[in-house]
Amino acid sequence: MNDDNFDNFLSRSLKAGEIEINASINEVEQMIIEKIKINRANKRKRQRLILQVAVLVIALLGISGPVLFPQPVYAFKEKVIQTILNLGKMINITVSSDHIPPQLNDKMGMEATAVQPGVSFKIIIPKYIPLGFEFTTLTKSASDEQDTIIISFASQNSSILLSETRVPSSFTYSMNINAKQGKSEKVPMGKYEGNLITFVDGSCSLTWITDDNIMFQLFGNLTAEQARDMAVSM
Amino acid sequence: MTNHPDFGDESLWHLAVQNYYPKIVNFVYYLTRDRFLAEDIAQEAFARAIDKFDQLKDPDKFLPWLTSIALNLVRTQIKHTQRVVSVSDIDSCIPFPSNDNFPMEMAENKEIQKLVQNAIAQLSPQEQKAITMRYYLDMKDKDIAFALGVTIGTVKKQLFRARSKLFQYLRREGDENE
Repeated sequence: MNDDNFDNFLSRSLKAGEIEINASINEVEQMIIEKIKINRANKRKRQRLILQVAVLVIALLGISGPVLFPQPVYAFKEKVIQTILNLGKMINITVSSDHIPPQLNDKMGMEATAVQPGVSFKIIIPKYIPLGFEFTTLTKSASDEQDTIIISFASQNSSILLSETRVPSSFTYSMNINAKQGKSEKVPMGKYEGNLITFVDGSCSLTWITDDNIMFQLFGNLTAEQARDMAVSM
Repeated sequence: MTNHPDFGDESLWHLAVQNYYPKIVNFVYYLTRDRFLAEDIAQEAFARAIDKFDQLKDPDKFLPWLTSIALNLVRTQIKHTQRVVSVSDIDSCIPFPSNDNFPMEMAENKEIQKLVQNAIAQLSPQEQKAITMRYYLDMKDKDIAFALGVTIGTVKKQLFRARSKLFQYLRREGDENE
């Protein structure tokens, strides 16, 4: 049998053997609409969980901070809470792209350059941003002596928050994670080691401190791999 | 689509559902052998496609893109249920010609169709996907590569290997049933 005959035979067998769809197109469309509604509700639920986790992280810092890190941690906490609230308002931003156009990284770089003169440490921006996310804001805390930079990224239904702040050289932190909610692990990131918390809903938080005592915290609806790639790209 | 304010061009989606929903259902059905699962995955694939439509850069890639969404859902489902299509899921065994002559009218024969599906179930999961995309969805190598996230060279190899295996399998069945 020649190749074309066999190809035609396979093609016709598969097409002739297809199952018929009993539902009408209108019924199918209604089922698709229901699924869209459920998916969107689930996304909002996941996003609320991320915000709750972020608040929890901040609360933990708030509890341990005053002992090890008296004044600045409050400013950091307040700023992050404010940014999270702002992000909550931006949930419906319609942005989607499978890569970051150069002008967006330029925009982030330009904003970092503009803010840099008033900041006591060098602002670092990620070169890698996960698929579908775009840079939205870069702001400096103006409420305290301690400089804190908050960079936010948003996709159509999710957000990522990156904070940068100077910590004392003796600064340490610890967190207890319920095993049912997620797991915590150390991850190597080039010359640094990060604390990665992955949550069962697919979101995660990554925290690391550099040699010059800058603490970076990354959290949002991204995978552990994306968080690590983002951190390594900085 | 009706009763929802946020689906963009409704007439476009209506056409897309009309033209591609049955194809996606059957494509998933050939991979899972589960009709209800196939319909569920096809609906979910459309739901996600509508929500992520802005991410599609090239409209010509709509079917490969939709297929890749469906494939991801199939993968997730298989991970959850550990369900793998096996020969035992499919009725067998029926007479098949032992010579190299595969008359086209045989393709209309229900038992022959089952045998072909049986043969496809012998292939590796990746080969099953490639062969179904090629012969059921009529997709080109580059579109299959796009949907599977592999190179065109890999698709060519998979199709060549899968096609040879199918031919051998069908020949062997023919010899046994003669």
